[in-house]
Amino acid sequence: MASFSPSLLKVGWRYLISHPLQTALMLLGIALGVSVAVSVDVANASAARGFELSIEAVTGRSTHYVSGGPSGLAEETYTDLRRAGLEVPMAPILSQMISSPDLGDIPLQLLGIDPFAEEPFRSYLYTNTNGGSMEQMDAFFTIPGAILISTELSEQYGLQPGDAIELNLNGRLLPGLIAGVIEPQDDLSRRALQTIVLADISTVQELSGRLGFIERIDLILPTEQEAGLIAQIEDLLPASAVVLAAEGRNRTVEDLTGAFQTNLAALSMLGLVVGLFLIYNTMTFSVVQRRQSFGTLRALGTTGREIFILVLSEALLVGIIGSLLGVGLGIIFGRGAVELVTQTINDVFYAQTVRGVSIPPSSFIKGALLGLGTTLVAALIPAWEAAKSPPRSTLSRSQLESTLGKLLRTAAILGAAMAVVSAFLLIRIDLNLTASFAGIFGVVIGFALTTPWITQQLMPLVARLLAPIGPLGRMAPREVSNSASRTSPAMAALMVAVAVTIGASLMVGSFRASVIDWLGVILRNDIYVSVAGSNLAEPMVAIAPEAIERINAWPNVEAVHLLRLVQVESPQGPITVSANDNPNDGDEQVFLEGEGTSQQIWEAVKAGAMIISEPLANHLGLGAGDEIRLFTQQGEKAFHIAAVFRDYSSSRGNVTMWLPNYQELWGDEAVTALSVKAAAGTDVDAMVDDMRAELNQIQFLEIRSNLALRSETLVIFDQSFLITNALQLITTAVAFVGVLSAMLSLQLEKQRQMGILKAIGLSQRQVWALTLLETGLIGAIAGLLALPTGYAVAQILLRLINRLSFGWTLQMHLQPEPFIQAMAIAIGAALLAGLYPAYRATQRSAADAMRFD
Amino acid sequence: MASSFVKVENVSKTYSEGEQQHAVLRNANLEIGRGELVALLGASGSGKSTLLNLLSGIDRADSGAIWVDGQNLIAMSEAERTLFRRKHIGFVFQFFNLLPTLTVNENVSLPLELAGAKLKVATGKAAELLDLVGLENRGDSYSDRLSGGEQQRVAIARALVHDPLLVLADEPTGNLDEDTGNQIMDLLEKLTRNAGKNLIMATHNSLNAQRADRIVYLRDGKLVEKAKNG
Repeated sequence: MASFSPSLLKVGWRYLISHPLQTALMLLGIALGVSVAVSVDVANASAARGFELSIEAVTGRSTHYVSGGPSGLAEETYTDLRRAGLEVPMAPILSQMISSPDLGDIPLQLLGIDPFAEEPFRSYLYTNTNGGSMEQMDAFFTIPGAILISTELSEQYGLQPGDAIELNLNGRLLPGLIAGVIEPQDDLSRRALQTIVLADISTVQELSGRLGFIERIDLILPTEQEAGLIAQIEDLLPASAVVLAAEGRNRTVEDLTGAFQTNLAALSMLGLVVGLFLIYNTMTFSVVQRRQSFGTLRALGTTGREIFILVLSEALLVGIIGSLLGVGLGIIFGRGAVELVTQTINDVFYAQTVRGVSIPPSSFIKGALLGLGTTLVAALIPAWEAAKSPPRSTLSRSQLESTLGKLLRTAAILGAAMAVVSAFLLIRIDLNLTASFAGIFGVVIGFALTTPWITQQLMPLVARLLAPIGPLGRMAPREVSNSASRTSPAMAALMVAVAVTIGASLMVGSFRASVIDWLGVILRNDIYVSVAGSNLAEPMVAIAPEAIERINAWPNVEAVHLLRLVQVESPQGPITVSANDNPNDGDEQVFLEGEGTSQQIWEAVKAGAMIISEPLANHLGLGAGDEIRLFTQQGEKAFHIAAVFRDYSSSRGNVTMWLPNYQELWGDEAVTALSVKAAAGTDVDAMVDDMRAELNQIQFLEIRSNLALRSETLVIFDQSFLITNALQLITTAVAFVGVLSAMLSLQLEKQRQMGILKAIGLSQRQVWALTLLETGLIGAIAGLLALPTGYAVAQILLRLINRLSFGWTLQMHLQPEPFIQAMAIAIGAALLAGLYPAYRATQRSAADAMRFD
Repeated sequence: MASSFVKVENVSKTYSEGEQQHAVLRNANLEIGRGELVALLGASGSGKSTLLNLLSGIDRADSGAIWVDGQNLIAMSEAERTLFRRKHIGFVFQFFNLLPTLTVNENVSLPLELAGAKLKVATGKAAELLDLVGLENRGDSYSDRLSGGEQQRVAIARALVHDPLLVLADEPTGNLDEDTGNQIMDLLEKLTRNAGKNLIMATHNSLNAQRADRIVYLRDGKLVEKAKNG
């Protein structure tokens, strides 16, 4: 291999140094693009790690568990199994979500265990305990409300063994005691114990009022004897109990959050794609600007290959620095993103406390590789063009642009083909989520590739339209068209960013409108009650029977409808059952398919059938007329599905049934939410206030009027899209940097031209006007082309991505706002990007500018 | 000498290069009568282009006064100098300085349009001027498709299209071969003399200088009158 002259490297390095603004913008573009990808990776990894830890902490090494359904298992089931002499490790568990004002009110899992049976399952409990070994701690076994907490929690909240604390269980404040502090021995234990507190199982039974009952029995079954042992154990169990695999319990939740995280990752990649356009833009410009120099180098004997390496090594250098900056920035953004992601997971999926940020080494590597790879890919074409520079560069500007014109046409044909093929695949083929996102990228990038060519076709028309405003009106469109080699990538990048903003805004707007319509149908009563702290969409904590009695007897209450929301076991894993006693519920649902009218469907439900929500129906591939099998207290039972109904409350989905049927089959009388119909003319807000004042003495309850519940639902809805908005904002920022960089590059190249114009009479105001007209046009065209692209993206998000990710389909609610906002963003960003170049152009004297070449 | 049309009074101009100051003009003085053709000679870097830039108002002197048709350019603001230039100055550059993204006709009509003329009037006038410089058929071509001589003809047409009082030419033949240069000089001289305009031309070419009514040397920052053929 021929040696590569160090002087050549100096040519590249000094170019970067002598154009600091251009270099800085390129670094910023790469850094922002990489930072988005890294921050989402960090947020996803932290959330996943938090989830994994809570699973590991609770599941431990158990392979299977005995479940007794919502009512749990009688204690005797455990003792019977113990006495049966099976050589199987087993441990009883009764867990309960709690919080404590003394522990920052964060959601914690109170794990009720039998310390003597625990060791094979959750060995981290057998670590140093301040106050003696666990078995020796009398207080732990004898004092009601005694719990163990980790050293970390104890230090954070200044609690010591012997301290009394208050525990909030199901909306009731109960007395508790710190019996001891556990010193975790490894990182896993430390993090697991951040969200878990331990108590003896009898303590949890007392606190939760479930004396004599346990939730499940964890088992460790050797793989080779698994089938035989399960059969043996099931023989010893009552009909209401069943042996299930531990992994199935968490799979559903993992699937759901996995889709959410794929959505975020896809959005984050978009930042990088926009960054790719930006890097391409800057590298192309740096090559075009130096075509004379490259020609001279060739004349001096430099080979095309050496020029190619020179440009790529510049890109490599910028890529390394930009990626490192991006990784650093990504970690900073990631800390903010963790909170947003966790908040959404909490609101939409399940209660989770993510404490601490996981920064997996793979995030660094992925971020650095993405940044470096993107930079090198973006630099390939410019490097190849530079390598082709003839020894004496005689290419005129108009020849260059005319060569580029042909290239733009080819790119437009390729882009159109890419968009059409991607759209065809999305419509016709059953793609998975990742492939569907690849399809969206195909459509968006396809449209982006057509942008420069369409711009060139439009500009003569624009010039005619703007002709009445004078020569600038004709010059600006022509400048945009004739500067395609400089402005095309920036315009395409801005188009992509704005299109995605339109797509996401339309999707969120349509989703919001669908939710509002849906709430209008399902929320027909005046007051809604659930236990404080339980999930708004899926209240699963039982309301105290005294509170229900009081509400039933409340003056001016016309009707009270009860709801039991609960997870039951099924051959497919846990399934949420929503059982209610509202005789009119059939009319308060939107049925997507069903057997008969809404009244007929609800009559069928009363007779023992179920209706299934759209997400669950999609997830399990079931529809009206099919059957779903669930484990009841009377054993496994098949239920006829009478209809599929629309439901946006949970992407996990549920089956809805008649409450008396549920109570009979599962022997569970608990009620987790209720709605109240007030007599006509009642002041509902006053009734809510009175109920809060009185009932909160029994149990902390969330008592909301119809209006309050709707608005709170929408607040949570909006919160869940905060992370999406943040990512969009960063993508637009990258596009903005792209346009700024393109405009600065253009102004740099056009300094001489601007000098001539000033010399023949262009005033300062006209310099401003010309520059801003050019950038404004770039923004307007990018915005205009983003409208159909954004609409297409929204359709794909609504019809495909939402169904694949969350199981529900949404209808497009076209609103003008996203389109107007997008145009404003595009033009605003472009104008803003034009300010500094325009200022620079006015500051430079015509004489100076003309000296510049 | 006719009554003074251009008057340069004690004009100084210094450029800074880092810490170093480079004085290009030092109390330079010059008077030019209406309708005169003046050749400005001097070594490279002597300040010929600087003087033309000051006379056009593109650049601003550090001290002194520059009067053109009774108006002092140094007392004007940037905006006023732009308006003055737009109306009264025509410029011909060594490297033509045409705008590559405009057609020939558009390049020529631009000064008129910037001064507020209607498009039709401006393009009509541009066509007339292109006719005068012998490029009547090249109006729709882009400037970088023309030869050097043709580009300079376009530049002359552009310099004259708005009927300026003063035409400034900076080495108008410096980038052309001898024959083409002579043709360009014939054209420039004819058009300015016929229209009774002033032409101030910076040049290295002594033959071109001989065409002028007066020759002025720029030496050590001062303007020195030189007798013709002397």
